[in-house]
Amino acid sequence: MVFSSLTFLFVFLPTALGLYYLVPRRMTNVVLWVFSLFFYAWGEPLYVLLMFATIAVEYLLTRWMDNASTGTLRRGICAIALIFALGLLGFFKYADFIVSNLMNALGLGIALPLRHLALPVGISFYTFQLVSYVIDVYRKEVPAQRSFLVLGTYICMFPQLVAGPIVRYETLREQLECPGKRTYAFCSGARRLVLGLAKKVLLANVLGELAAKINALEKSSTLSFWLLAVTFTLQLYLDFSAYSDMAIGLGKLMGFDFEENFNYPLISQSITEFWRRWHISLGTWFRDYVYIPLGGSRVSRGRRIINLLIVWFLSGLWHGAAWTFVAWGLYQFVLIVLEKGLFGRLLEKAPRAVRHTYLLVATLIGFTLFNAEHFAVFAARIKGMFVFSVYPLLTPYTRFLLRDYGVILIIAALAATPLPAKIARKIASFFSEHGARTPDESPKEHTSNVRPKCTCRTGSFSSQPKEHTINTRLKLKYRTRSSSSQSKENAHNLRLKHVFALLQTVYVVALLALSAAHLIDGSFNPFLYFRF
Amino acid sequence: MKKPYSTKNRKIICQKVFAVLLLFIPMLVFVLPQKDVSLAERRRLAKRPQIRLSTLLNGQYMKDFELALKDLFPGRQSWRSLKAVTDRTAFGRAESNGYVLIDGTLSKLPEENESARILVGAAKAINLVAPILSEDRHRVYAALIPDKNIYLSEKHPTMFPDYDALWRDVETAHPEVKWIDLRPALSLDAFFRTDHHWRQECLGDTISKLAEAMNATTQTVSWEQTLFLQGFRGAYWGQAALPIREDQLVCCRNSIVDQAKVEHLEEGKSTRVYDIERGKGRDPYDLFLSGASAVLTISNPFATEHRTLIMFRDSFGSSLAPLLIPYYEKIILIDLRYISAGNAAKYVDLSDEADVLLLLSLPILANPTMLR
Repeated sequence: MVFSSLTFLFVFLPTALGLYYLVPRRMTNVVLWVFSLFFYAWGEPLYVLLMFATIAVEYLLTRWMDNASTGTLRRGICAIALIFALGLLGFFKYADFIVSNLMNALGLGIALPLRHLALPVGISFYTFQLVSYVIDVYRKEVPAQRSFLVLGTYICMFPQLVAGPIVRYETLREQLECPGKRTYAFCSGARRLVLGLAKKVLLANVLGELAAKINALEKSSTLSFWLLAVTFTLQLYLDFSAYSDMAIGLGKLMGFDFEENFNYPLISQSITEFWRRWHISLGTWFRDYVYIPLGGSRVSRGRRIINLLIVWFLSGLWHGAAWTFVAWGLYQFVLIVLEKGLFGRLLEKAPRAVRHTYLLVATLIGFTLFNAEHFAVFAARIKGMFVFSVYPLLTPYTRFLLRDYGVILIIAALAATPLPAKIARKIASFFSEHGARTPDESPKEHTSNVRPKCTCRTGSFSSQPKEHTINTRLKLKYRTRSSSSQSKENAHNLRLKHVFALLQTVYVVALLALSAAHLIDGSFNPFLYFRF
Repeated sequence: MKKPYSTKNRKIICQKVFAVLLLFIPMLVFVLPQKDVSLAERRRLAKRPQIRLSTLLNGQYMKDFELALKDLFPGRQSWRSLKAVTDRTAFGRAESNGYVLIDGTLSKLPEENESARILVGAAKAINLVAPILSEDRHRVYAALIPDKNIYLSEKHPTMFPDYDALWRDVETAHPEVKWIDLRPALSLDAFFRTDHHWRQECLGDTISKLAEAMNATTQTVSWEQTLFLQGFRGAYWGQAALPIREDQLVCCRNSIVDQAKVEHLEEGKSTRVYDIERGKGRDPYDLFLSGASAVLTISNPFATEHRTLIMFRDSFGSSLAPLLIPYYEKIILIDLRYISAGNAAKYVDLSDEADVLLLLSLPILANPTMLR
């Protein structure tokens, strides 16, 4: 099941949310886990058993590890747990890749029965979550979870199961173990979900349609190659960040705080900065579980470069079982290493426009490689982009496509910047000056909580709601009736608040309706994460 | 004093709005009676799938469920219109589901390499009819049916291919037939706004040109235009889902056409030229010669000359052929989409002296695999 489908929006989600809110707090994990398994089984009716079995094995191993008497035994169990989880990932994702490369290298013409093995959707994401959990337990950063239900809920949670973000166990542990401590932000969660849906359906999908048309062109032009690079880059960013938005929104609806996964990467001014803003959860995962254990930056320069090479090789490979993905990862490595040297110092002194242009061109080239089925395709596209004598600058059909999709491209480019959010904040602050609420930018700014009736075994909980915070800017100042002008001001403030709430509601409902209209029409709706 | 606007109240309102939007409307899918056909889109709608273990395990049930939910969603056509209108107004898109609304008419955008495929299609069509042709007995003519895009391309050249070059290339490639250029006889107004077909009442000049080219003569014939359907929504109307005025479906009648007999040879039935019952069905354009038919003959009881016309045609020929009845004693229509020329010869004798007219539209020629 995918978020941008009618089945999810109008059948699964209302049923899941409805039950989630109706059942007693202590039953919410059961509801969440059951519905998450159903969510996964809808797309993978058989592989849901694989995921369940994987979680069960890791649960038992981590419980055993936590009770291990010696460090050696602990290390051994950790190794087994990691080999098991990563082994399954390797088998399903890379078996064909390894076998076909071996056969090519050895000149064998035999087709082994492993070929064309279907990849379980989301296996890369949930495996990495399991691996991070196992390592955190090994490092004694968290105790092994005693409840299979809690661990299963953490791994299978449908908001982030098939497309991330990769959420650390520590982030959610308290909320999972103690449902009363969850911070429900229904309005902002619904808003974030709908904004993400609109980003995916109204922008990313339409860009995908454009990219497909450009790919099908019989007469290419220089502009068509550049248009393909720009379109695919924007599509990938908007699609992926939209999924993260929807995941975060769904999390808020159910009382969970997921961390941000994208921070406007396309406004970066270096590749190093780009990777601090793009797919943040994956970047931090590789940093914490690969780069730092290898020594990180606290080693010699040569060793540091080797560490980076390993990280980017693995990062490229994680994105797909093909040499183009590995090459893409290594391309990022080369740029990052260059930026850490003389090139980086020159870049820092360059004007902002130059730095940004460098980042955009480097990113477009990188994603052209990412999007190519083979190296030959990449070479042809790069040639088309940079060798102007090969193709005409423009063809009539490309001109038509540019005109037809021009507005979408402009909106998509703006959506990739913080500008829309800044405008939204300015509008909100206008109303907040008069006492209205601002839309929350982070979960803590605008939350509400029910009184906790937590009977969790671990940890303590306060009898007062911890997170019942109200932004100080939003505190209402109530005046007495003695001043008629103050009453008028209060009435005016109240009207403004109603207007603001109405505007927000209308905006969100309009986006939801438009997104639904696209889905009902059966418009182009690709799922980009089948490789993960 | 009024209560301040509270978080709790707002949350409750938000929850209620969300619940209504997500729950109420889609529940109608399971409550309302299931529709079988979409008249707007002119196709069968997906049905709610039955739950079977095999389809659950292989994922087919889930795909069918999503498809059925799309097709059966309450107010589907309204949602599609919302999408089309928003794409056009807010996002500046000219295209909606492959159709464009330009100069008050709906048209299907040509694909990028359509001209090359039309050349291939024309060659195939001529080759398909060649086996039944005789140099002694058949006078062979051909005409490409002008698409409404040809007339749109005059004002919007960048959106459409070079049709002058296309006509030239096709005619040059096949000098073995006598080409009749119908483009000057038509205009954009001669086509329905909501459909790709031409309007029968606007074919006067086209008929004159064809008759003149084929040396077919008749006494002066008067026609009476009869309004059959006031709000005709053509094939493009439902597909594009864009706001556009409906058409009028008019048929041209006189005593010759009213008395003419139509024999559908493959089905073994007889009808009139204008089939009122079919015209009231899913596609009102089926009024003309009862719609799609592989082989049919039209007999003119008032013919003064023993002339026969063999027309290889598609749906455009259905509305054109009635206007040629006064010129011929017998008209044989063969639709190469449904039957080959050789198989058609089993139903009707094609060896007699006759005018042969190959009349095919650009969309059919652009998809030559449709021709048998």
